[in-house]
Amino acid sequence: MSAEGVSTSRAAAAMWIISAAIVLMFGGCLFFGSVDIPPSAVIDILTGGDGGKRSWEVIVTGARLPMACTALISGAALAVAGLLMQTTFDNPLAGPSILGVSTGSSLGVAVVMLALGGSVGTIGHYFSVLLGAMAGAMVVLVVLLLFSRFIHSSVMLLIVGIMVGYLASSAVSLLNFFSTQEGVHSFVIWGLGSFSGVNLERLPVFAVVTLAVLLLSFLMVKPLDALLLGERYAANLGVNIRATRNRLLLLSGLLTAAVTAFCGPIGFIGLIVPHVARMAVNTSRHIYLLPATAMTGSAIALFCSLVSVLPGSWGVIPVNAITPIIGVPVILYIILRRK
Amino acid sequence: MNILRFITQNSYLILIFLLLSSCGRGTSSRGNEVTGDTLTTCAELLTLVDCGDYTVADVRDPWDTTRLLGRYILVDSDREMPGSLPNGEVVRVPLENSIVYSDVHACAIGEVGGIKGVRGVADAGYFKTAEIVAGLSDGSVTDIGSAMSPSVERIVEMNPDAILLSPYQNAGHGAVGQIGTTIIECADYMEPTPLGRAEWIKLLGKLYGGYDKADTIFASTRDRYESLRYKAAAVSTLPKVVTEQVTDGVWYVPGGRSYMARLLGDAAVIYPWSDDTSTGSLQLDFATVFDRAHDAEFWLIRTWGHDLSLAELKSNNSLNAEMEAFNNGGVYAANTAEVPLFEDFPFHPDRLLREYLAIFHPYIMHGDTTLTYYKRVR
Amino acid sequence: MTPPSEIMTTHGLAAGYLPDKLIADRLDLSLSRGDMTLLLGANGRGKSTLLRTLSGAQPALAGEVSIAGKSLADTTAADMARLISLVYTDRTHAGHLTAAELVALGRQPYTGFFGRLSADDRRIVDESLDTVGMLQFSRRYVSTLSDGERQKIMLARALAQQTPVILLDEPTSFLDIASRIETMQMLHDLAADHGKAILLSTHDIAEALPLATHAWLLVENDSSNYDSTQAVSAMITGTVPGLVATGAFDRLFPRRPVVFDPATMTFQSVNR
Repeated sequence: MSAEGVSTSRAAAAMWIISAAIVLMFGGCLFFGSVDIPPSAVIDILTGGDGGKRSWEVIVTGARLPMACTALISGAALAVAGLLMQTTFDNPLAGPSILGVSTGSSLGVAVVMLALGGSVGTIGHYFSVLLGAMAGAMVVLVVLLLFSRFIHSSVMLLIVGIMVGYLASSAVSLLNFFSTQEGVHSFVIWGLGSFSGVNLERLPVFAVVTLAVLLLSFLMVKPLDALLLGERYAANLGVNIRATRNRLLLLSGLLTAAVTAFCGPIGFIGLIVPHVARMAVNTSRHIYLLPATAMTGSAIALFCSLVSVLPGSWGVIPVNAITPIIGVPVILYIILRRK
Repeated sequence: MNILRFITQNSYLILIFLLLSSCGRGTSSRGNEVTGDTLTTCAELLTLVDCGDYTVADVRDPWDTTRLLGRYILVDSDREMPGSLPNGEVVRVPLENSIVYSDVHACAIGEVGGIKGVRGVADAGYFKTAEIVAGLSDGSVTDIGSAMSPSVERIVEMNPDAILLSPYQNAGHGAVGQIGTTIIECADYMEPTPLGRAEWIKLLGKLYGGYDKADTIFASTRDRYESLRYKAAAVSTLPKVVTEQVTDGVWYVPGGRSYMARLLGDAAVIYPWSDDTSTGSLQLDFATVFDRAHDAEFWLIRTWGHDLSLAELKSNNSLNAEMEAFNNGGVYAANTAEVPLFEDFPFHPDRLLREYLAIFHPYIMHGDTTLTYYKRVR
Repeated sequence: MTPPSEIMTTHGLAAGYLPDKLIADRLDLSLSRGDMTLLLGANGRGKSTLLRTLSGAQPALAGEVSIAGKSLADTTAADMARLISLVYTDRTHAGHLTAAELVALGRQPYTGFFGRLSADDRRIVDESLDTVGMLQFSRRYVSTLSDGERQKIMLARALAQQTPVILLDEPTSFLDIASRIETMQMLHDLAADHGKAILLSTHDIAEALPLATHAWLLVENDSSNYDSTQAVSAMITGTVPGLVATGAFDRLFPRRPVVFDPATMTFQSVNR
């Protein structure tokens, strides 16, 4: 790393490159998929035509476009959630899943799929799963916020979060053990993560909610910068540590809950993207790091989504099988180059 | 050199390991020939041979049809044990104290008149056969627990004369296989043809002392099935049919050579995956299925729990509404919690074939178009 | 009568941890602008605890601390940020910031929502860097600086915060001798020329004592100091020359083979 300081132009240049990557990946997700559709047809469909085959039009606008948008938003949300977690707990290996919020989501879904047979009352399967995921995440989040009132040390709170995650995990195992084969299989598929769960109708709700929380996170730029110096200095600079920590927990939890509810538990993105973004813009200043993290998260999620459909008609690789393949080398690189 | 030394030094360990691993499930025999009247004609995985003093039942391994999963020598209880018997597991019939894992089997056993021989069941909650339900509540039928992990103690206490269960690929029977009770591998669910699967009722007949009844039942099943198939074969316009729906991103579609595909084929339809060669289900994503089957005229879905509505179908996946069948009233759903679809079709595929014809080609049915299992989805 | 330069006082302060670790009590202390006060004491006497109590990071067990005439307990965090700044030796994760950006964090109590710097703020940042002699490093990444350079940056940050009181907790512990002397001189100048009230705890008595105006000594509590108190330590305060004259420094390390030499204002081994 050069000894010369950052210039805004370096950060800006990095963000332009990331934007280009996003556009590229987004396009890739539209042009590639399990069904072979010629690029000319895709372009035709995107510009209002019908691309020749009605089924193609439905697939591109009804399946691929929402999936790409979902990946775009989810990647940003998870990455920012990870950044907030890493700052709150002063731990470079913290991720949205470390606090048990996504495990809580899994538990909620497990209850719906395995204990309640797939649906709550007369609500359809889809909404029941959504409800379970949100409820599970919220319960864990509330528990954490409660503990945060009593526990002063961030390290202790992190441990509490991990323990809550383990409890939820064991409950999930129990539910799996006592359930049917179909239920378990269904649950496993959900756990593999997928960006295709949000259709065109529901996309606006998902987008608005997630983007709103993302924007709220951007308001935390100042305390996040102060926290770079550690809690003591940050407090001395006027940051209310308790309130800030709670806010960061809440924001990160909400982002994680929203994405997990709609896409299943997606790992690694929240963990690695903040580090990749930091290396890209070469600064820890959150006024650049936050947007860079969000954008890098989008790019990587879109990339994973693209890779997952590359096998074409052989099938679709689940997202959670791909994210570690990208994530692990990055983590190793970070560990070996620890500053 | 090192490998050689390793082998020679540890040869006795390796020998023991090989011996132990060969004690897997099923007999590794190829099945020597037996002479007698072959009773089965349609089943591919089951061969019943009447050898006079005894009957030989051969069950083939569905995943390696060159091997036998089991050979059972069925000897009448009130006969003396014959002098020389071929190799195989000797079973005294009719069974009087057996355990059954599947309600479909129990129902068929009831039809051949042998239900009294069933004294234990697994996954008792799934049983609907009246005598079993009654027996469970008055204690004459024992619940041995879940099929995945049954209570071995209860099984041993019952001292059953046989356990009827389904074999799985690459899986043993766990603890149940270790206690020494005769296990009858019922591979009927893996039969690729409807009549082949239905013919397994003959094995149940032999096991529970109702063979004549079983023979009659199968004969009339086959006659009805064949006549329906013959009627359908004369149809000139074939509709395209697609089955099931996408759940959690996966759409399970029967493979081209699967049981379901064959049944549909016998019902004179265009099945979009008829060129596929697998006998199981294909795991596809929505786009792939949509691409091939969006213009299907009929869409058959099995649900569990409540009746499906078009609104729910759309809420499960909004693109479901783009299927032509959705917009043309071609969606039919069977609520398997209420209708005996799963219980009936294995041994009575003619009923399902009749249902399909009533849906797809009502005009050849001469008024016999009431639907027992499926309802049009609104 | 309160001298006008007094900026921070305590009245009957008891510092320590609940439920039963009382470091010191009945403390009546004061810090004035222009004074450089050393907080001395053997390890375990409670220097860090006292500093934390004075900065408001830890609640007092009894008594009160006043800053600029108001009680600490009644002062908001935002106001406190403009009155007291801290320098200590914790590691930070600010490696990916430039020196200027880190110092700029000191302006947070004065900047708007996203922490944007006005031209005035930028000038103050540069001045702070200049005061500690690090202006030419302003665009260097903090992670590329040596320990001494980094410590100066942290001091510059405290300066940029423009607080009348600066509390330092062993600011020179990991520095080489040149840096230690440099730092002490800088602190002296900050007090003398810039009118800051400096309180620092340190073990570098030789480097600090000649430059300091006052000293607070945390010594072992025995009945000669108080009548019946459970506190672990007792406090002796005064000007440096005054304390030297009364031999107070001998109380710092009782029963240890060292002795304070007033002439050189250093500790020497007994066995010389």
